[in-house]
Amino acid sequence: MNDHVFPFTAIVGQERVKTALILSVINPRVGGVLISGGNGTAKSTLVRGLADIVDDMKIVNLPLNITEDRLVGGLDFEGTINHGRKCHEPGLLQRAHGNILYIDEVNLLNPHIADLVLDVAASGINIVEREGVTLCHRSRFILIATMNPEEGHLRPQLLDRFGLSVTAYPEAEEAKRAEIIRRRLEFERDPVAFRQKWLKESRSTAQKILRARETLREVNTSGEILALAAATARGARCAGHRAEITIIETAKALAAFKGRGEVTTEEIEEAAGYVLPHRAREPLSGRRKQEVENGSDGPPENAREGNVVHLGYQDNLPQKEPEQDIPPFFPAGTQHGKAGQEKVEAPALGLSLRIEGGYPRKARRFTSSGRQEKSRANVPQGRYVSFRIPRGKVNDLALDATLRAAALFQKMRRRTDGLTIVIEPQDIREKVREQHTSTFVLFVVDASGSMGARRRMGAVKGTVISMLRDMYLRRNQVGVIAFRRDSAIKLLEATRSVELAERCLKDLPTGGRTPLAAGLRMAYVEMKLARTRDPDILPYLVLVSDGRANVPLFSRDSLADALEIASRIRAEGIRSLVLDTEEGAVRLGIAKTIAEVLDARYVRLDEISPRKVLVNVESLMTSTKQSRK
Amino acid sequence: MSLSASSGSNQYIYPFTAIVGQEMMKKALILNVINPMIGGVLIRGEKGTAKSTAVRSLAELLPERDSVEGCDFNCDPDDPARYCEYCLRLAAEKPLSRVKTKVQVINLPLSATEDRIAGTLDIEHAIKKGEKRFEPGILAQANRNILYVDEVNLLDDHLVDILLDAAAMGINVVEREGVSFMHPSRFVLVGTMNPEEGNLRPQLTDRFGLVVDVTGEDDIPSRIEIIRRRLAFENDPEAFITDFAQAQQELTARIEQAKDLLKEVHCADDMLNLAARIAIRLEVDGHRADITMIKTAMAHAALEGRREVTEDDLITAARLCLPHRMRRRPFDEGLNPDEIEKIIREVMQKI
Repeated sequence: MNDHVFPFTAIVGQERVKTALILSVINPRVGGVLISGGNGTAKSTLVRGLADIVDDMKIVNLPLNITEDRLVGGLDFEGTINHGRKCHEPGLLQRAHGNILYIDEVNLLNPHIADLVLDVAASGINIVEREGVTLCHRSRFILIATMNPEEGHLRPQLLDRFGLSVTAYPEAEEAKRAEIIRRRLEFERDPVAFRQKWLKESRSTAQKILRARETLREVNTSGEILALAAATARGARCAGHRAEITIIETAKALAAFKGRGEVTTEEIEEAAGYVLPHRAREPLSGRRKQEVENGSDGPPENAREGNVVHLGYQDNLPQKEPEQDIPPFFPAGTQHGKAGQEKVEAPALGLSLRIEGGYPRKARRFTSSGRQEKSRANVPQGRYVSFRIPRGKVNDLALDATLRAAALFQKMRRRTDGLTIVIEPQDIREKVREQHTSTFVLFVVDASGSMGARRRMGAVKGTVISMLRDMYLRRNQVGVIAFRRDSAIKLLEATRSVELAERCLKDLPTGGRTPLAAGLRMAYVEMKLARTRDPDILPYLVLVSDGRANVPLFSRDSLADALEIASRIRAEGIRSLVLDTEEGAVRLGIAKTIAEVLDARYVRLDEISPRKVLVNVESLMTSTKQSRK
Repeated sequence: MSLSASSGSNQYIYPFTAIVGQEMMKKALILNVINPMIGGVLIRGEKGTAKSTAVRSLAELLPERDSVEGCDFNCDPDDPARYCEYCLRLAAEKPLSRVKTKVQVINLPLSATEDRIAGTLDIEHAIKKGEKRFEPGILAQANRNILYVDEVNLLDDHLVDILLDAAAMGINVVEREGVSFMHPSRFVLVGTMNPEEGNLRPQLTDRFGLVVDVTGEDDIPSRIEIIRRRLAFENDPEAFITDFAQAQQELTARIEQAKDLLKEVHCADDMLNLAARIAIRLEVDGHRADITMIKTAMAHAALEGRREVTEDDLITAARLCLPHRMRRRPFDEGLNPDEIEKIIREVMQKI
């Protein structure tokens, strides 16, 4: 279907993305490219266009609907039945060997599948040991992925896998934008003719890439240049040595592409721009904390282009070999109730943990490193990722796995009824599906005048943002409601994107009266709604306010109204936390009253560090899980 | 499965032309029929605003086109680059036989499972014959048709992902349950939603070419007319449909003419520049807005029987393409189509 690919060279602008892609195919040691960017910034078009300028590699597309068997390969039931011996069917990872593996919307990829891809990307070898098939093959590929940060971030472990990262921005210039429309229309009118028109340019870029590949080996890197690369990586406080190696490989590819025989400072600088943005780390303390305390609500200084790593609380994350943090074995719970049963899977190890109620400390660490809490659904819902031998009644048959299990024995079984395959009970496999047990944390933020002191609102925003980030690391859903003047407003629908949440908060204006009751009512409605949509959802409310309500909702007493709704929230069994922002010598302590009515945890903003708030939110969640048992 | 077949006992379809008011919604749907590359419509509105009725009744007006006979994916015989695997193989042996089929409205129910949408292993064939065969899913049916999702905001996240994946490339890549298959899946996405029940993910919103907000008709005479027609339809659907037969035919003919004319519609450079300037001024996300705006303007010109895109076409297009593509700020309601038009007129004046 190449005839419908928009030519790479006809894409207007996006020079950095183009260069990064070209470098990755000149020198596979660069280690792949992650392209992030908003909607409609030609991300996918660029990747697909690569096919035009790289002749000896295919683009192997990894669709989001992929199941494990198709990724790693497995038994081929058709061949096994027809030939009476085990036949192996190659998976996508085998097809990807020596080619480009392309994942569109990589941030939406199922974590289990992502782990499998990661494993192979790191080792270059795919080892299959399943369904009676033992197999091992090389699988080296160039990993290219696109994502829209508004849809949620990428786990740090996955992020590290990419050598280069670039952001695609929309063009800001009128003439260029008009040219983009013109070319698109022309292409859609007659794709074949359009491609013909750009053929010469495509060929010449393809030639340039080929030449660069040939000369790559001869590109010199002096000792000084190596030292510069190391110093650059260290300056950005990158973990491990992968950063400097990648800088050098990238710089070599750049030099080769420019037709130079020697890497110069210029190439190192340029390469660093592709290699460092997603790797630069910063220790927890220091700036971020200060920023929160100083009430600056601007972005961290190094949140520059492409930097999608979330700073703050990095010390919580396993930096390398995250699996080592996980105990090799967890005793399974002996009994399990219906709703309280939580199941956490450790796909990388093929482990299943069953935990009653709250999470033991170690396992929590694990989930806080970005894994979604998962639950097993009774109804077949969610993504089919794997299969297992059923326990008890089967209501979700995994036909493909069942057929593969049966295939091995067909020679020995009698065939009746004209059926080719005889399936016996021991062949039956059922689907393992994954589903988000949505934990929904709804922030209700007071944006009224009483909060308006710039410094205080800054501190509030800072605290809320760090909580949001933590929520992201655990892949919870977050929502934000703000209230000021006469009404409450839903700033953010339940989302897994911290980026959206942060943007909303940063732009949040303050001032006016305090319609606390309206804010709480909206939260109440939102949470009820969330429960209607997903009865298994675990809703939490985080109220950030000084409690000085002065806009009534249905009576004349604004505080009474707020308390009335608070008691209803409590009656719904919704757990909550009140972050009291009141400060100064004279305190009314109203927020505390509200907290009591809500049966909420109560924390004062001025008494604690953001870190402590987090600990509180965490323990709140644990206790809720226990209480749901 | 077309909607007309799935609606069961209620086999009569309310005629599109009998819908009172809701002009923008009707226009948005018609423009997508004229040029399917516009990328669909999202219809937002409260309950009982004829959203679903309009989409269902659209089926009647849809044109015919050539398809490969017997192809599960409705391959276009004149577009070999997008043949499915079967058609590719067949075409190598002999010329494909073609058949005229109507564009259909394919329903994607919220309860659909992932394998039903993407397609999966053909169970019966596998057990009977021991062979792997791909069983086409909804995305296969949707190729070159209209894919309709009622209450699209309630669609499960992972199902949305599959839709987005296919929509991005116009190809459905299936790597699941023992089968590996690829087929074309280019559809016009039509969704309805009630915003009170929650919003849509930004990425999915952006996939809809146009957005219309519908509200109930406000004036008493219109409301009375709606009731009158609805009662008449329910009393004697056949007679009601006959009453509107001529209007339906006229509209169908007009759409056909517009489709033909679209090939000749020209868009002058200053219109392209203007579209770009509007996009910059309104700070839209990405480039899809500008491109869709121009395509919609061209389809609108064709509908009006013109060969040249005018400023008015562009304004109509902007009202449909832009409201959902602008960045929103807190305590900022966003711009409604009227405000957008006002800004565009300012932009135009400055030239």
